[in-house]
Amino acid sequence: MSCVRSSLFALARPAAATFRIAQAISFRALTTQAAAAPKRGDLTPAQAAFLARTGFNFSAKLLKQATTHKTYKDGKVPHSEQLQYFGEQVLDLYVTEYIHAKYPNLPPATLRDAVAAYTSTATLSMLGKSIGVQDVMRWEPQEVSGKDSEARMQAKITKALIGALYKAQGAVAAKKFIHAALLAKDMDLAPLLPLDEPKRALSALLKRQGRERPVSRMLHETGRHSSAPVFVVGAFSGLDKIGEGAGSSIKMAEYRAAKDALLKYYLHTRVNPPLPSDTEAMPHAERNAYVGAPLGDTPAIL
Amino acid sequence: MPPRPPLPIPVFKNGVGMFVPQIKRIVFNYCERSGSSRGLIDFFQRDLKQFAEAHPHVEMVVHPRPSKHPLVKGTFISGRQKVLCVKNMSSKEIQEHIKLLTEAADAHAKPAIKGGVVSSTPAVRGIWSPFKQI
Repeated sequence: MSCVRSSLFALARPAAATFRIAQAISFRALTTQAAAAPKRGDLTPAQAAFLARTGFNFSAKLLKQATTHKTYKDGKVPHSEQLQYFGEQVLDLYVTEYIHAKYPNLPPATLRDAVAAYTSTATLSMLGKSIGVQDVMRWEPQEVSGKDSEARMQAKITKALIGALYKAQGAVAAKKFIHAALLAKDMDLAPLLPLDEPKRALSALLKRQGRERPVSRMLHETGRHSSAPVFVVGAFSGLDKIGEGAGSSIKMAEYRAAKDALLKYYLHTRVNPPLPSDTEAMPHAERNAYVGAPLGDTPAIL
Repeated sequence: MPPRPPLPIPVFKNGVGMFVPQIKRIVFNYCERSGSSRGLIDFFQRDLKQFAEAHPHVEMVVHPRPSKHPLVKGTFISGRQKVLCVKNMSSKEIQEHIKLLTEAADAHAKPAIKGGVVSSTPAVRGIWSPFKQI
Protein backbone atom coordinates (compact mmCIF):
# COMPACT_ATOMS: atom_id res chain seq x y z
CA MET A 1 0.00 0.00 0.00
CA SER A 2 2.99 2.28 0.37
CA CYS A 3 3.60 2.13 -3.39
CA VAL A 4 0.74 4.58 -4.00
CA ARG A 5 2.23 7.28 -1.81
CA SER A 6 5.67 7.03 -3.38
CA SER A 7 4.28 7.61 -6.88
CA LEU A 8 2.43 10.75 -5.81
CA PHE A 9 5.51 12.54 -4.57
CA ALA A 10 7.83 11.57 -7.40
CA LEU A 11 7.32 13.99 -10.28
CA ALA A 12 6.52 12.64 -13.73
CA ARG A 13 7.19 9.00 -12.95
CA PRO A 14 5.49 7.06 -15.73
CA ALA A 15 5.44 3.61 -14.04
CA ALA A 16 2.03 2.31 -12.93
CA ALA A 17 1.51 1.78 -9.20
CA THR A 18 -0.88 -1.05 -8.39
CA PHE A 19 -2.71 -1.23 -5.11
CA ARG A 20 -2.13 -4.39 -3.16
CA ILE A 21 -4.79 -5.34 -0.69
CA ALA A 22 -2.93 -7.00 2.16
CA GLN A 23 -5.85 -9.08 3.28
CA ALA A 24 -8.62 -9.96 0.81
CA ILE A 25 -11.66 -9.74 3.06
CA SER A 26 -14.10 -12.39 1.92
CA PHE A 27 -17.60 -11.23 2.83
CA ARG A 28 -19.14 -14.26 1.19
CA ALA A 29 -17.22 -16.93 3.11
CA LEU A 30 -18.54 -20.33 2.12
CA THR A 31 -17.46 -22.36 5.15
CA THR A 32 -19.42 -22.31 8.38
CA GLN A 33 -16.31 -22.25 10.60
CA ALA A 34 -13.98 -19.28 10.56
CA ALA A 35 -10.95 -20.76 8.76
CA ALA A 36 -7.45 -19.43 9.45
CA ALA A 37 -6.42 -17.17 6.56
CA PRO A 38 -3.91 -19.12 4.43
CA LYS A 39 -0.63 -17.53 3.32
CA ARG A 40 -1.55 -14.86 0.76
CA GLY A 41 1.67 -12.94 0.47
CA ASP A 42 2.40 -13.30 -3.23
CA LEU A 43 -0.98 -12.81 -4.86
CA THR A 44 -1.28 -10.47 -7.81
CA PRO A 45 -4.04 -7.82 -7.49
CA ALA A 46 -6.11 -9.69 -10.10
CA GLN A 47 -5.83 -12.92 -8.09
CA ALA A 48 -6.68 -11.18 -4.81
CA ALA A 49 -9.72 -9.58 -6.45
CA PHE A 50 -10.76 -12.98 -7.85
CA LEU A 51 -10.60 -14.64 -4.43
CA ALA A 52 -12.63 -11.85 -2.86
CA ARG A 53 -15.22 -11.99 -5.63
CA THR A 54 -15.78 -15.75 -5.40
CA GLY A 55 -15.29 -16.11 -1.64
CA PHE A 56 -12.74 -18.93 -2.06
CA ASN A 57 -10.24 -19.33 0.78
CA PHE A 58 -7.22 -20.54 -1.22
CA SER A 59 -3.53 -20.08 -0.54
CA ALA A 60 -1.56 -18.31 -3.28
CA LYS A 61 0.12 -21.60 -4.22
CA LEU A 62 -3.16 -23.45 -4.66
CA LEU A 63 -4.75 -20.67 -6.70
CA LYS A 64 -1.70 -20.52 -8.95
CA GLN A 65 -1.79 -24.25 -9.56
CA ALA A 66 -5.53 -24.37 -10.16
CA THR A 67 -5.40 -21.58 -12.73
CA THR A 68 -2.33 -22.82 -14.65
CA HIS A 69 -2.95 -24.99 -17.70
CA LYS A 70 -0.28 -27.46 -18.82
CA THR A 71 0.43 -25.39 -21.96
CA TYR A 72 1.76 -22.56 -19.78
CA LYS A 73 5.57 -22.70 -19.78
CA ASP A 74 5.37 -26.19 -21.32
CA GLY A 75 4.22 -27.73 -18.06
CA LYS A 76 7.40 -26.80 -16.16
CA VAL A 77 5.35 -25.21 -13.37
CA PRO A 78 2.69 -27.11 -11.34
CA HIS A 79 -0.43 -27.27 -13.51
CA SER A 80 -4.07 -28.00 -12.98
CA GLU A 81 -4.65 -31.30 -14.77
CA GLN A 82 -5.13 -33.40 -11.63
CA LEU A 83 -7.37 -30.79 -10.02
CA GLN A 84 -9.36 -30.68 -13.28
CA TYR A 85 -10.09 -34.38 -13.15
CA PHE A 86 -10.93 -34.09 -9.48
CA GLY A 87 -13.31 -31.22 -10.20
CA GLU A 88 -15.06 -33.23 -12.95
CA GLN A 89 -15.82 -36.02 -10.50
CA VAL A 90 -17.04 -33.61 -7.82
CA LEU A 91 -19.30 -31.86 -10.33
CA ASP A 92 -20.72 -35.14 -11.63
CA LEU A 93 -21.61 -36.26 -8.13
CA TYR A 94 -23.41 -33.13 -6.94
CA VAL A 95 -25.12 -32.36 -10.24
CA THR A 96 -26.41 -35.93 -10.70
CA GLU A 97 -27.78 -36.32 -7.19
CA TYR A 98 -29.54 -32.95 -7.39
CA ILE A 99 -31.22 -33.52 -10.77
CA HIS A 100 -32.19 -37.06 -9.80
CA ALA A 101 -33.77 -35.78 -6.57
CA LYS A 102 -35.41 -32.75 -8.16
CA TYR A 103 -37.01 -34.64 -11.09
CA PRO A 104 -37.91 -38.11 -9.77
CA ASN A 105 -39.87 -39.13 -12.89
CA LEU A 106 -37.21 -38.29 -15.47
CA PRO A 107 -36.29 -41.08 -17.92
CA PRO A 108 -32.69 -42.31 -17.43
CA ALA A 109 -31.46 -41.10 -20.84
CA THR A 110 -32.80 -37.62 -20.07
CA LEU A 111 -31.12 -37.65 -16.65
CA ARG A 112 -27.82 -38.49 -18.35
CA ASP A 113 -28.34 -35.71 -20.92
CA ALA A 114 -29.28 -33.18 -18.25
CA VAL A 115 -26.13 -33.93 -16.24
CA ALA A 116 -24.10 -33.71 -19.46
CA ALA A 117 -25.72 -30.34 -20.22
CA TYR A 118 -24.93 -28.94 -16.76
CA THR A 119 -21.31 -30.11 -16.96
CA SER A 120 -20.69 -29.40 -20.65
CA THR A 121 -17.84 -27.20 -21.89
CA ALA A 122 -20.26 -24.47 -22.94
CA THR A 123 -21.98 -24.34 -19.55
CA LEU A 124 -18.78 -24.43 -17.50
CA SER A 125 -17.16 -21.76 -19.65
CA MET A 126 -20.18 -19.53 -18.96
CA LEU A 127 -19.85 -20.31 -15.27
CA GLY A 128 -16.17 -19.41 -15.38
CA LYS A 129 -16.89 -16.17 -17.24
CA SER A 130 -19.54 -15.25 -14.68
CA ILE A 131 -16.96 -15.39 -11.86
CA GLY A 132 -14.27 -13.66 -13.93
CA VAL A 133 -11.88 -16.57 -14.48
CA GLN A 134 -10.47 -15.10 -17.73
CA ASP A 135 -8.28 -12.68 -15.73
CA VAL A 136 -6.55 -15.28 -13.59
CA MET A 137 -6.08 -18.18 -15.98
CA ARG A 138 -2.56 -18.88 -17.24
CA TRP A 139 -2.22 -20.69 -20.56
CA GLU A 140 -0.64 -20.54 -24.00
CA PRO A 141 -2.91 -20.69 -27.06
CA GLN A 142 -1.57 -23.36 -29.43
CA GLU A 143 -1.53 -23.08 -33.26
CA VAL A 144 -4.11 -25.84 -33.73
CA SER A 145 -6.40 -24.61 -30.93
CA GLY A 146 -9.33 -23.44 -33.01
CA LYS A 147 -11.73 -20.60 -32.37
CA ASP A 148 -13.31 -21.93 -29.18
CA SER A 149 -10.01 -22.51 -27.41
CA GLU A 150 -10.58 -19.76 -24.87
CA ALA A 151 -14.03 -21.11 -23.93
CA ARG A 152 -12.60 -24.63 -23.57
CA MET A 153 -9.80 -23.27 -21.39
CA GLN A 154 -12.29 -21.40 -19.18
CA ALA A 155 -14.24 -24.63 -18.68
CA LYS A 156 -11.07 -26.54 -17.75
CA ILE A 157 -9.91 -23.90 -15.28
CA THR A 158 -13.38 -23.76 -13.73
CA LYS A 159 -13.30 -27.52 -13.19
CA ALA A 160 -9.83 -27.22 -11.65
CA LEU A 161 -11.05 -24.46 -9.32
CA ILE A 162 -13.95 -26.62 -8.16
CA GLY A 163 -11.51 -29.48 -7.54
CA ALA A 164 -9.26 -27.11 -5.59
CA LEU A 165 -12.26 -25.84 -3.61
CA TYR A 166 -13.22 -29.39 -2.65
CA LYS A 167 -9.65 -30.24 -1.72
CA ALA A 168 -8.90 -27.11 0.30
CA GLN A 169 -12.24 -26.37 1.93
CA GLY A 170 -14.07 -29.70 1.90
CA ALA A 171 -17.27 -31.17 0.58
CA VAL A 172 -19.73 -28.74 2.19
CA ALA A 173 -18.10 -25.65 0.69
CA ALA A 174 -17.80 -27.26 -2.76
CA LYS A 175 -21.44 -28.34 -2.71
CA LYS A 176 -22.61 -24.87 -1.62
CA PHE A 177 -20.69 -23.26 -4.46
CA ILE A 178 -21.94 -25.72 -7.10
CA HIS A 179 -25.53 -25.25 -5.96
CA ALA A 180 -25.30 -21.45 -5.84
CA ALA A 181 -23.29 -20.87 -9.00
CA LEU A 182 -24.54 -23.66 -11.27
CA LEU A 183 -27.56 -25.64 -10.09
CA ALA A 184 -29.59 -22.57 -9.12
CA LYS A 185 -29.59 -21.53 -12.79
CA ASP A 186 -32.68 -22.88 -14.53
CA MET A 187 -32.51 -25.12 -17.57
CA ASP A 188 -35.48 -26.25 -19.62
CA LEU A 189 -35.32 -30.06 -19.89
CA ALA A 190 -38.23 -30.37 -22.36
CA PRO A 191 -35.94 -30.59 -25.46
CA LEU A 192 -34.18 -33.59 -23.89
CA LEU A 193 -37.31 -35.68 -23.31
CA PRO A 194 -38.42 -38.48 -25.69
CA LEU A 195 -41.64 -36.89 -26.94
CA ASP A 196 -41.73 -37.98 -30.58
CA GLU A 197 -44.78 -40.30 -30.29
CA PRO A 198 -46.70 -38.73 -27.41
CA LYS A 199 -50.01 -40.57 -27.68
CA ARG A 200 -48.28 -43.94 -27.81
CA ALA A 201 -45.95 -43.06 -24.96
CA LEU A 202 -48.83 -41.75 -22.84
CA SER A 203 -50.80 -44.95 -23.43
CA ALA A 204 -47.87 -47.11 -22.33
CA LEU A 205 -47.25 -44.91 -19.31
CA LEU A 206 -50.81 -45.08 -18.01
CA LYS A 207 -50.93 -48.84 -18.61
CA ARG A 208 -47.78 -49.25 -16.50
CA GLN A 209 -49.27 -47.12 -13.75
CA GLY A 210 -52.45 -49.21 -13.76
CA ARG A 211 -54.63 -46.19 -14.53
CA GLU A 212 -57.45 -45.91 -17.06
CA ARG A 213 -56.35 -45.63 -20.69
CA PRO A 214 -56.01 -42.07 -22.10
CA VAL A 215 -59.01 -40.53 -23.84
CA SER A 216 -59.15 -37.19 -25.67
CA ARG A 217 -62.16 -34.97 -25.08
CA MET A 218 -63.00 -31.67 -26.72
CA LEU A 219 -63.02 -28.88 -24.16
CA HIS A 220 -63.69 -25.92 -26.36
CA GLU A 221 -63.82 -25.18 -30.07
CA THR A 222 -64.42 -22.18 -32.26
CA GLY A 223 -64.44 -21.36 -35.95
CA ARG A 224 -64.65 -24.99 -37.16
CA HIS A 225 -65.74 -24.00 -40.68
CA SER A 226 -63.64 -20.84 -40.86
CA SER A 227 -60.09 -20.37 -42.02
CA ALA A 228 -58.76 -20.08 -38.47
CA PRO A 229 -60.35 -22.76 -36.28
CA VAL A 230 -59.25 -23.28 -32.68
CA PHE A 231 -59.79 -26.60 -30.91
CA VAL A 232 -58.92 -27.09 -27.25
CA VAL A 233 -58.60 -30.77 -26.37
CA GLY A 234 -57.99 -32.35 -22.97
CA ALA A 235 -56.22 -35.69 -22.38
CA PHE A 236 -58.14 -37.61 -19.72
CA SER A 237 -57.48 -40.71 -17.69
CA GLY A 238 -61.00 -41.55 -16.51
CA LEU A 239 -62.30 -38.33 -15.03
CA ASP A 240 -58.85 -36.78 -14.35
CA LYS A 241 -57.62 -34.27 -16.89
CA ILE A 242 -53.90 -34.94 -17.23
CA GLY A 243 -53.06 -32.66 -20.15
CA GLU A 244 -54.42 -29.94 -22.39
CA GLY A 245 -53.52 -28.81 -25.88
CA ALA A 246 -54.81 -26.34 -28.44
CA GLY A 247 -54.42 -26.35 -32.19
CA SER A 248 -55.97 -25.47 -35.52
CA SER A 249 -57.04 -29.09 -36.13
CA ILE A 250 -58.43 -31.73 -33.77
CA LYS A 251 -55.50 -34.04 -34.47
CA MET A 252 -53.00 -31.28 -33.69
CA ALA A 253 -54.78 -30.44 -30.46
CA GLU A 254 -54.90 -34.13 -29.42
CA TYR A 255 -51.17 -34.51 -30.11
CA ARG A 256 -50.38 -31.44 -28.05
CA ALA A 257 -52.62 -32.60 -25.22
CA ALA A 258 -50.77 -35.92 -25.03
CA LYS A 259 -47.44 -34.06 -25.11
CA ASP A 260 -48.58 -31.76 -22.32
CA ALA A 261 -49.57 -34.77 -20.21
CA LEU A 262 -46.16 -36.37 -20.69
CA LEU A 263 -44.32 -33.11 -19.88
CA LYS A 264 -46.33 -32.69 -16.70
CA TYR A 265 -45.42 -36.22 -15.66
CA TYR A 266 -41.73 -36.29 -16.58
CA LEU A 267 -40.94 -32.78 -15.35
CA HIS A 268 -42.75 -33.17 -12.04
CA THR A 269 -40.47 -31.23 -9.69
CA ARG A 270 -39.73 -31.95 -6.05
CA VAL A 271 -39.08 -28.60 -4.36
CA ASN A 272 -36.09 -28.50 -1.93
CA PRO A 273 -35.49 -32.24 -2.25
CA PRO A 274 -33.60 -34.09 0.52
CA LEU A 275 -30.15 -34.92 -0.88
CA PRO A 276 -27.87 -37.75 0.26
CA SER A 277 -24.96 -35.29 0.50
CA ASP A 278 -26.93 -33.34 3.13
CA THR A 279 -25.69 -35.94 5.60
CA GLU A 280 -22.15 -34.57 5.19
CA ALA A 281 -23.10 -31.49 7.18
CA MET A 282 -25.37 -33.25 9.69
CA PRO A 283 -24.42 -34.15 13.27
CA HIS A 284 -23.96 -37.85 13.98
CA ALA A 285 -27.38 -38.60 15.44
CA GLU A 286 -29.25 -36.87 12.65
CA ARG A 287 -27.11 -38.63 10.08
CA ASN A 288 -28.11 -42.04 11.40
CA ALA A 289 -31.75 -41.05 11.29
CA TYR A 290 -31.54 -39.90 7.62
CA VAL A 291 -34.16 -41.40 5.32
CA GLY A 292 -33.69 -40.80 1.59
CA ALA A 293 -36.38 -39.51 -0.75
CA PRO A 294 -38.67 -42.21 -2.19
CA LEU A 295 -37.57 -43.61 -5.56
CA GLY A 296 -39.52 -42.69 -8.65
CA ASP A 297 -40.74 -45.34 -11.10
CA THR A 298 -38.77 -46.29 -14.22
CA PRO A 299 -40.38 -45.15 -17.48
CA ALA A 300 -42.66 -47.34 -19.59
CA ILE A 301 -40.95 -49.32 -22.37
CA LEU A 302 -42.51 -48.75 -25.80
CA MET B 1 -29.98 -41.81 -36.85
CA PRO B 2 -30.36 -38.03 -37.19
CA PRO B 3 -27.56 -35.99 -35.55
CA ARG B 4 -28.30 -35.21 -31.91
CA PRO B 5 -29.35 -31.62 -31.23
CA PRO B 6 -26.84 -29.62 -29.15
CA LEU B 7 -27.34 -29.80 -25.37
CA PRO B 8 -29.15 -26.81 -23.82
CA ILE B 9 -27.30 -24.33 -21.60
CA PRO B 10 -28.78 -23.10 -18.31
CA VAL B 11 -29.78 -19.46 -18.10
CA PHE B 12 -27.04 -17.57 -16.25
CA LYS B 13 -28.61 -14.66 -14.39
CA ASN B 14 -26.45 -12.78 -11.94
CA GLY B 15 -28.04 -12.87 -8.52
CA VAL B 16 -29.90 -16.16 -8.91
CA GLY B 17 -28.27 -18.43 -6.32
CA MET B 18 -25.07 -16.39 -6.23
CA PHE B 19 -24.43 -12.69 -6.78
CA VAL B 20 -21.13 -11.71 -8.40
CA PRO B 21 -20.26 -8.00 -8.42
CA GLN B 22 -19.62 -7.12 -12.05
CA ILE B 23 -16.89 -4.49 -11.65
CA LYS B 24 -13.42 -6.06 -11.75
CA ARG B 25 -10.86 -3.28 -12.28
CA ILE B 26 -10.76 0.49 -11.78
CA VAL B 27 -7.91 2.52 -13.29
CA PHE B 28 -7.36 6.06 -12.00
CA ASN B 29 -5.58 8.43 -14.39
CA TYR B 30 -4.39 11.78 -13.00
CA CYS B 31 -1.95 14.55 -13.76
CA GLU B 32 0.54 15.58 -11.10
CA ARG B 33 0.50 19.29 -12.00
CA SER B 34 -2.91 20.16 -13.52
CA GLY B 35 -5.54 21.85 -11.37
CA SER B 36 -8.35 19.62 -12.60
CA SER B 37 -6.71 16.57 -10.92
CA ARG B 38 -6.53 18.19 -7.47
CA GLY B 39 -9.74 16.56 -6.29
CA LEU B 40 -8.62 13.12 -7.44
CA ILE B 41 -5.23 13.51 -5.75
CA ASP B 42 -7.07 14.51 -2.60
CA PHE B 43 -9.15 11.34 -2.97
CA PHE B 44 -5.96 9.24 -3.26
CA GLN B 45 -4.50 10.76 -0.13
CA ARG B 46 -7.62 10.49 2.04
CA ASP B 47 -10.24 8.05 0.82
CA LEU B 48 -8.71 5.59 -1.65
CA LYS B 49 -7.47 3.11 0.96
CA GLN B 50 -10.88 2.90 2.61
CA PHE B 51 -12.57 2.64 -0.79
CA ALA B 52 -10.26 -0.19 -1.86
CA GLU B 53 -10.82 -2.08 1.39
CA ALA B 54 -14.56 -1.69 1.00
CA HIS B 55 -14.32 -3.25 -2.48
CA PRO B 56 -11.78 -6.12 -2.19
CA HIS B 57 -13.14 -7.73 -5.36
CA VAL B 58 -11.92 -4.77 -7.47
CA GLU B 59 -8.37 -4.37 -8.72
CA MET B 60 -7.33 -0.73 -8.30
CA VAL B 61 -4.67 0.78 -10.56
CA VAL B 62 -3.30 4.31 -10.18
CA HIS B 63 -1.54 5.45 -13.35
CA PRO B 64 -0.26 8.98 -13.90
CA ARG B 65 -1.34 10.53 -17.22
CA PRO B 66 0.44 13.88 -17.48
CA SER B 67 -1.19 16.95 -18.99
CA LYS B 68 -4.59 15.30 -19.36
CA HIS B 69 -7.81 15.60 -17.39
CA PRO B 70 -8.30 12.99 -14.66
CA LEU B 71 -10.18 9.84 -15.65
CA VAL B 72 -11.65 6.88 -13.81
CA LYS B 73 -11.96 3.84 -16.08
CA GLY B 74 -13.97 0.84 -14.89
CA THR B 75 -13.68 -2.58 -16.54
CA PHE B 76 -16.42 -5.14 -16.02
CA ILE B 77 -16.49 -8.93 -16.16
CA SER B 78 -18.22 -8.76 -19.54
CA GLY B 79 -15.17 -6.89 -20.87
CA ARG B 80 -17.00 -3.59 -21.35
CA GLN B 81 -15.50 -0.37 -20.07
CA LYS B 82 -17.00 2.76 -18.58
CA VAL B 83 -14.84 5.88 -18.61
CA LEU B 84 -15.72 8.75 -16.28
CA CYS B 85 -14.01 12.13 -16.43
CA VAL B 86 -13.66 13.54 -12.91
CA LYS B 87 -12.08 16.90 -13.78
CA ASN B 88 -12.57 19.64 -11.19
CA MET B 89 -14.52 17.34 -8.87
CA SER B 90 -13.90 17.27 -5.14
CA SER B 91 -13.04 14.00 -3.40
CA LYS B 92 -16.62 13.62 -2.17
CA GLU B 93 -18.08 14.28 -5.61
CA ILE B 94 -15.71 11.70 -7.10
CA GLN B 95 -16.83 9.08 -4.60
CA GLU B 96 -20.47 9.71 -5.51
CA HIS B 97 -19.66 9.58 -9.22
CA ILE B 98 -17.74 6.31 -9.17
CA LYS B 99 -20.71 4.63 -7.52
CA LEU B 100 -21.83 4.40 -11.12
CA LEU B 101 -19.08 1.81 -11.60
CA THR B 102 -19.40 -0.18 -8.41
CA GLU B 103 -23.18 -0.27 -8.25
CA ALA B 104 -24.62 0.10 -11.74
CA ALA B 105 -22.46 -2.58 -13.42
CA ASP B 106 -22.06 -2.34 -17.22
CA ALA B 107 -25.64 -1.40 -18.12
CA HIS B 108 -26.17 1.88 -19.94
CA ALA B 109 -27.64 4.66 -17.84
CA LYS B 110 -31.38 4.44 -18.48
CA PRO B 111 -33.97 7.20 -17.90
CA ALA B 112 -35.98 6.35 -14.83
CA ILE B 113 -39.44 7.14 -16.21
CA LYS B 114 -39.76 4.96 -19.30
CA GLY B 115 -40.01 1.18 -19.01
CA GLY B 116 -41.82 0.96 -15.74
CA VAL B 117 -41.80 -2.37 -13.96
CA VAL B 118 -40.08 -5.40 -15.46
CA SER B 119 -41.30 -8.68 -14.02
CA SER B 120 -40.99 -12.36 -14.83
CA THR B 121 -44.48 -12.90 -13.35
CA PRO B 122 -46.45 -10.03 -14.87
CA ALA B 123 -49.94 -11.27 -13.98
CA VAL B 124 -51.32 -13.22 -11.03
CA ARG B 125 -53.99 -14.98 -13.08
CA GLY B 126 -51.86 -15.31 -16.21
CA ILE B 127 -51.95 -13.33 -19.44
CA TRP B 128 -55.13 -13.84 -21.52
CA SER B 129 -54.87 -16.38 -24.32
CA PRO B 130 -57.55 -17.28 -26.88
CA PHE B 131 -57.10 -20.95 -25.99
CA LYS B 132 -58.16 -20.58 -22.35
CA GLN B 133 -61.83 -20.37 -21.55
CA ILE B 134 -61.50 -18.05 -18.55
